[in-house]
Amino acid sequence: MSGYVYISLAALYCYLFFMAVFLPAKKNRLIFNFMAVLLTMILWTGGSLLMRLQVLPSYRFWYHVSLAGIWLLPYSYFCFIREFCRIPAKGSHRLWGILLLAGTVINFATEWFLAAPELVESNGRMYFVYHMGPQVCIMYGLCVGAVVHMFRLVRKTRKRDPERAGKLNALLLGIVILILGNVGISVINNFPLDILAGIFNAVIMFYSLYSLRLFTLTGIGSRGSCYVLAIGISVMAFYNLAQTMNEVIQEKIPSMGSVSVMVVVVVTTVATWLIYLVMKMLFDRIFIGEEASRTEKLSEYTMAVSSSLRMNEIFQAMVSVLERVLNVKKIYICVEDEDGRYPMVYSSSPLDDRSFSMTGDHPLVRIMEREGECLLLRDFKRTVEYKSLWEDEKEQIDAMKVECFLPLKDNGELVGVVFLGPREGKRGRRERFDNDDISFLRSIQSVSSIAVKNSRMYERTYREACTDRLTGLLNREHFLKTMDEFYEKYKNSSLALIIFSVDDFKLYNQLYGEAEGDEALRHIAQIIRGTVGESGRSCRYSGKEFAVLLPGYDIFSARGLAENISAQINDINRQRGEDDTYFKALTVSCGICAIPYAATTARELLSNADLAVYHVKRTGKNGIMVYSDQFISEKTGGAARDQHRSKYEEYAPTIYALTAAIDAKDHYTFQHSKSVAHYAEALAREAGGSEEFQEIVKEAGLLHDIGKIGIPENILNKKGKLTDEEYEVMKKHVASSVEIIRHLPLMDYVIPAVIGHHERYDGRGYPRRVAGKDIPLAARILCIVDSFDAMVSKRCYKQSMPVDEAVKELERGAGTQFDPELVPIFCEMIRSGRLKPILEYHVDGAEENAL
Amino acid sequence: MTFEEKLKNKEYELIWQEYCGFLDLTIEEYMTIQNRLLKEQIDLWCVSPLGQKITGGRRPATIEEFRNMVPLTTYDDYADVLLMKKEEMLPEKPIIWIQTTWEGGKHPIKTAPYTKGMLKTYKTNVLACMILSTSSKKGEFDIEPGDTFLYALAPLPYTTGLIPLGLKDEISVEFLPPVSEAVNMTFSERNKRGFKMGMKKGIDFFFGLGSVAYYVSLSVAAMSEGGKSGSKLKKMMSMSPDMVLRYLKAKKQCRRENRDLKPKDLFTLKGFVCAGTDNRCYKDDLEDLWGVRPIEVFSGTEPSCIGIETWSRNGLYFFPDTCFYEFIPEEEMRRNMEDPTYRPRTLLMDEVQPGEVYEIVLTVLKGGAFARYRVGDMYRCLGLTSREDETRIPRFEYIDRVPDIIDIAGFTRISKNSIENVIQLSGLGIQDWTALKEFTPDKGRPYLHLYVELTPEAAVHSAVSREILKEHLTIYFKYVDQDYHDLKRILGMDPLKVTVLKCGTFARYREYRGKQLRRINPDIHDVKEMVRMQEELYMQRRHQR
Repeated sequence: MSGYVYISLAALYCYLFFMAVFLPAKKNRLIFNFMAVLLTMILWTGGSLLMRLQVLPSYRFWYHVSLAGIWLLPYSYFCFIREFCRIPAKGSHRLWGILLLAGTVINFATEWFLAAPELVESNGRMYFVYHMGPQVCIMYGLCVGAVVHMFRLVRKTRKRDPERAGKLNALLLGIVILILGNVGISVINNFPLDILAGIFNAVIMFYSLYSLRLFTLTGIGSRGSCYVLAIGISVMAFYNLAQTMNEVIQEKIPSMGSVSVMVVVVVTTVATWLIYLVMKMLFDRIFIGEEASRTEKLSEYTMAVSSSLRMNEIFQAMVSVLERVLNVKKIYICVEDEDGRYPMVYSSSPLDDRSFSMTGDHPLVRIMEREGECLLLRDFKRTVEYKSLWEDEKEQIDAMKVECFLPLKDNGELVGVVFLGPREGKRGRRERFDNDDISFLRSIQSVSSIAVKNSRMYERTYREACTDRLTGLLNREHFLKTMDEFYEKYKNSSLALIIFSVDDFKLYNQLYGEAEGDEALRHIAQIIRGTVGESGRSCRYSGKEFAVLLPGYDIFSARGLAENISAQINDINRQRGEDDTYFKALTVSCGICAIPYAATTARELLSNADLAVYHVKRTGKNGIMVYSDQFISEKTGGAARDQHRSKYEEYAPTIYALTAAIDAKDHYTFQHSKSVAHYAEALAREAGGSEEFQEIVKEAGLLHDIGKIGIPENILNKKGKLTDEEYEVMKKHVASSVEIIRHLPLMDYVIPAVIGHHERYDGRGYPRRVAGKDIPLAARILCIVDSFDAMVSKRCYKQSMPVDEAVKELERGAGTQFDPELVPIFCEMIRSGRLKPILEYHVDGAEENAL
Repeated sequence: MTFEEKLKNKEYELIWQEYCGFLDLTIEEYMTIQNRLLKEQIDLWCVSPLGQKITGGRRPATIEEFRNMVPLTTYDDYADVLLMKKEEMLPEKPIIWIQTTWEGGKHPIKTAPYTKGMLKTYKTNVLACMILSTSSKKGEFDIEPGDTFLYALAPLPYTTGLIPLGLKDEISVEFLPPVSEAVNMTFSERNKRGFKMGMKKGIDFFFGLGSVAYYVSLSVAAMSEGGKSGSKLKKMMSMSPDMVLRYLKAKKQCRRENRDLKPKDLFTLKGFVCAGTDNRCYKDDLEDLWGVRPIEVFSGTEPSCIGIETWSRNGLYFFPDTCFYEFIPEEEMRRNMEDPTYRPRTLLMDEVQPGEVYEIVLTVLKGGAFARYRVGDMYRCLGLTSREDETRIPRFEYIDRVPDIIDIAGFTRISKNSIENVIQLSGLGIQDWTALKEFTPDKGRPYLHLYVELTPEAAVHSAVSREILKEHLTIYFKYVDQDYHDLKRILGMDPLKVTVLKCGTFARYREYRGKQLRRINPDIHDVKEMVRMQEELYMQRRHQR
C-alpha cells in the first residue's frame, strides 16, 4: 500500500472520530449542520481512500463518491456557518445546494464536468492520471461562489456580533487550507494534497472544539463511543499489521512460531485496551472533562438544595457551586421580602456591604420579571430600562463589579436576583460569560428558583408557627416542644430553665398605653436574646412572661445569667429617663429550676420554675428565686408591705412637699386629702383589703387631688357655681394628678386609684368614662369617701351637710354614682360610729360646686 | 485593583509605598493624618446617639475640645448599645460584628462593630503585615498568588477570623486547611490537617498567637517524627517529591546532629506573624523551630489591627489611619487605679518619650464606635526614630495588659472578680490572697501565682494541701472561665501555681507596713517581703518564748 493511502486513512479516521463523537450527542440544528459537514468530509476522504484501494464495485464509483463529498462540502459548510451566525435560510441560500447537487448527479451520470482519472501502471505501480477540461470550472466556480457567499455572511455577522463571529476564525482558516489543498492537487499530481489539507482541517476543527467550545457537548463521552473508536482503530491496525507481526515473530523468534498467532491476538487485545484507555482519557480531558465536571457539580448542587429547606444553606451551596464552576469571586443574592422589596440577604463574603436593596419597581427587577433570563450588565446597559436607573443605583451596581444578573423566577413570580461578579480566568484575567456559562447558569436558575421559593415559604411558615410576632422569640408551643427535645438530650447532664415575669405590667400598660407596653416587651426580648445568644433558647411564655432554656447549665450559672438579664431590664427605663421622659422602672420576677438538681422531668422543671416565679411575686416581686424543696435563694425578700413602706418612706418627703404646696395654695384641699386618706384606709380595711392595699389606698387618698396645684386659684376658690368652661378646667386636675405622680415612678401604684376617683359606677364619670368593676377598687373607694367628705365639709358657698343626710345621699347614689357593694359598708361604719367623720376644718373651696 | 493584580503588574515599589509607606512618615506628617481622620471621626461619632450619650449631648468642634469633653471610656460605657447591637445608635452602619470574651464583665461576651471603612483599612493593614513579615530590608518582600498559609488563629466571629476573608478579596492564597473546612474542626484536627496539607504543598506563611504557634510548632515536629515505619512510608507517599527529598535530607541531618526534627528542616517560611500577649516568651523558641523570627502584630477586637513590627523585629509601629492614639503615662495610670475619680492626662503620639511606659487609649476611626477607649494594654516607647528601620515615628514594645488584669499567653484574662468568684465557688477556707503574673525561670513562660492564706479553721478541719488547693481552684477556674479551660485543653498548659502562706501573714504585713497589698499584680518586692516576713515572724516568736 502506498504512503498516500495512509494519509487518506488518517484523514478518514479523524472525521469518523468526530462523527462518532457527535452521533450520541444531544442534537440541535447547529449540530446537524456540523454533522453534514463531517459527512461530506467522510464521503470525500472515504471515497478517495477506497478509490485508491480499488475496492469493489469499482474505483470509478468511489471516485464519484469522493467527488460528491468535495462538491457538496462548500454547501454543507455554508449551512453550518449560516446556522452559527443565526441567519435564517433563504431561497438564494438553498440555490447553492440545488446547483451543486445537480452538478454532482449529472457528473455521476455523464462525467461531463470532471471525468474519472485514468489508472496507469508505471514501474509496477499504479497511478491515477486526471484529465481536466474547462467545464470543471463551472462546478468549482459554484463551490467558490458558495464559499464567497459564506464569507459574506461571516462579514455581516462580524459587524453585528463581533464576539460570535470571532469564534469562527479558526474554522474559516480550516476552510482556506482546504481550498488551498484542492488547488494544490492540480499542481502536485497524484499526491493527495487535498486530503492532507483535510487532515489539517480536522486538526483545526479539533482545536476549535477544544478551545472555543463551539458546541454544548452533552452526553457524548459515553463509554460506548470510546469502545467503538478503540475497536475501529484496533481493527484497522490488526488488519494492516497482524500479518506482518506474525511473520516477524516466526522469523525472529522461531521458538514461538507455534504460538505466534496467540501472541498476535494477545498483543492486539492489549493494544485495543490501551487504545480504549487513551481514548477515554482524551474524551474526559478534552471533550467532556469540563462538561462532566459541571454536570457532576450541578447534580451535587441539586442534591444539596433538594435536601435542604434552609435558605442560608441553599445560598451557601449556590455560591459554592458558582465559585467552583465559573470561578466567580463575587456573588450577591437579593431575595424578595414581605414588603415586595429585594434586599441583599447573602453574599460570597461576610465582609461585603449588604445594604443594597431594590424596590419592586426597580428597573432591574422589572426586566428580570419580564425576561426571566440571565442578563449581562453590558446588555442591561443597552436596555431602555437602564435609562431610568438613578445615578446612585448605577454607582452601587458598578461598585459591586457585577457582570451578570441571574433571576430566580418561579411560575412568573420573581423570587430573587443573583448578582455575579466577573469570571476569573486561569491567569487571573477577567473573562466574559460564554454560552456554556449561561447555559450552566440556566440550570442553576431552574434548580434554585424553586428551592428558594420553597425554603422562603417554609421559613416563613416555620417562623410564623414557631415565633412570637411581637418579640421574635419562640412562642410557647414551640418552646414546650423544644423543652421536651432538650430534656431527652440533656437529661443525663443538666438542663436549666429560667422564667421571667414582668412585674406590674398591666399597670405599665395603663400608664403609658399598650404601644409602650409592647415596646417594653420587645426591649426585654432583645435583652434576653442578646444575653442568652447561642447558649440556649428563649421564648415568650405568656403575655408578660419569658422563658429561657439552658442546656448544660447548672443552677449557679443559670442564676448568674438571670441576674445579668434582670439588671439589664431594670436599666431599661433608667436610660430612657435621660431625655426628660420618666417611665416606671421595669422589674422582673424570676424563677429558676434545673434538672437534675431540683426536677426530674420536663413538666416538673416547668412547674417548679413557675412556682418559684409565683413565690417571688408573692414576696414583693423584683427578685430571683431558685426552686428547691425549700426556696433557698432570694435576691429580694420580705413582705410586700415592707417594700411599700420603704417606697413610701423614700417618697414621703416629696409627698409632704407636694401636699404642703397644695396647703399653701388651697388649705381645704390639704385637709380634705388627709380626711379622704383616713376614710379610704378605713373603708379598705372594712372591705377586707390587705394591709398593703390599705396602705396604697391611703397614699392614693393623700395624693388624689395633688393635680389641683395646677388649677387657677380663682376657679379653685370660687364662691359660686362653676361655669362649663371652669368645670372643664377643674376636671383636668385628675390628669394633672396622674402627671405629677408619674414622675415618682415608685409611687405609680396609686395611679389607678387616683385616675378613677371621679369615675361613676354607671360610666358617666370622667376622665375615662369606665363603669362598674372596670373602675379599680381603690378608685371606687376613693370616689365614695371623697364625695362624703365634700358633703360633710363646710364651704364658702354652702353649709356642711349633716352626716346622716350625707350617708343617705351616698345610699341614693349607690349603683349609679357609687359602688353598690361598698356604699352599705361605708354607711354602716359611719352609722355604727366605728368611723368618726372629721368635721372641724373650715372650707372655702369650690370643687363640690361642680359635683 | 486587587493586591494580586498589583503584584501581577509588578508594581513592587508602588505596593511598598501603598502598604508600608507610613514607615517613611515624619512625625508631623503622621500627626497630620491622625488629626485629619480624627476630625472626620468626631463629625461622625459626636452626632451619633452613642456619642451624644457619652458626651451628654455636647458636640466638640476641635480635637482639643474632643479630648476635654469625651471622658476616657471602657467597655461598660458601650455595653448597652453594643451588646444589643443597636446599629441605629452607631456613627456608621456596621458590616460585621466581631466578638470576644469579656472576663469580669457583666456579660459573657463583648461585641464590636466593624464598618466598611474599618474593614478596608483592616485589609490594607493585614497585607502590610504580610509584606513586612517577608521583608528583610526596606522595599523588599516576597509574596506570590497561591502562597500557602498555616493558620493557627480563631475563626469568625473572633477578629482573627477576618484575616482569611480580607485576604480572599485581595489575593488568592491557600489556607491549610481551607477556612470552610477548618471552622468545623477541632483545634487539633485543624493542626493535623493543616500540617498534612503543608507536607504536600509546603508552607509559606504562618499566622498564630505566639503561644499557640509554639504549641503547633511542637506538634508539627512531633507529627513529622512519630509513627511506625509503615505509616512513615504512607506519609512519604502523600508528600510531593520535593518534600520527600527534603524529609529524607532533614532526617539524615537530624541523625547526624543528634536532635529532633524541627519544622525548619521541612519548611521554608516566607513570613511568620504572631499576635497576642506574652509573645516575647516564645519568640526565641519559635525562631529556633522555624528558622525565621516571627514578626509581631498588634490586633484586638475593639481596635482591629493597629500595629506591626518591621524587618528589624525591634519594636512595632502604629498604623496612622486605623485609630487615633493617646497614651496615659504609667504614673498617671497608677494614680487613677488608686483613685478612680482621678482623670489621668493623656499624651499624643508626638508627645511620648523614649523609655516611658504608657497605657494606650484609642479612638477607632472610620465610623468606629469606640472613642477615647481604654483597651487595657501597656506599651513602652522604644524610641522616636530608628536608624535601622530608617523611621522617624515612635516605636513601641508591647509590655502586657494593664496591671489589674492577668493575661496568660493571650488566652485568658483573669481579674480580681474572677479570682474572688473562683475562691467563693470552691468553698475553700481562704482568708486572704494576692495574685501575680510570673514567668518560669527556665523558659520564661507565663503563669498565675496565687499566694493564699487559709482560715485557721480550714487549716485544722479540712484537707488543704497545696495540691488539693491547686486542683480545686483549677477546676473552678475552668468552670468560670472558658478561656482558661481552653488554655489547658488546647495548649496543655497548667498556668496556676499556689503558694500557701502561714496564717496571719497578710494581717502582719498590713500591721508592719501599714498598707494593704493589692489583690492583682502587687509589686513583686512587696510580695517577696511578705513571704520573708513569715520567717521573721517565726524568729520573733522564738525570741519571745
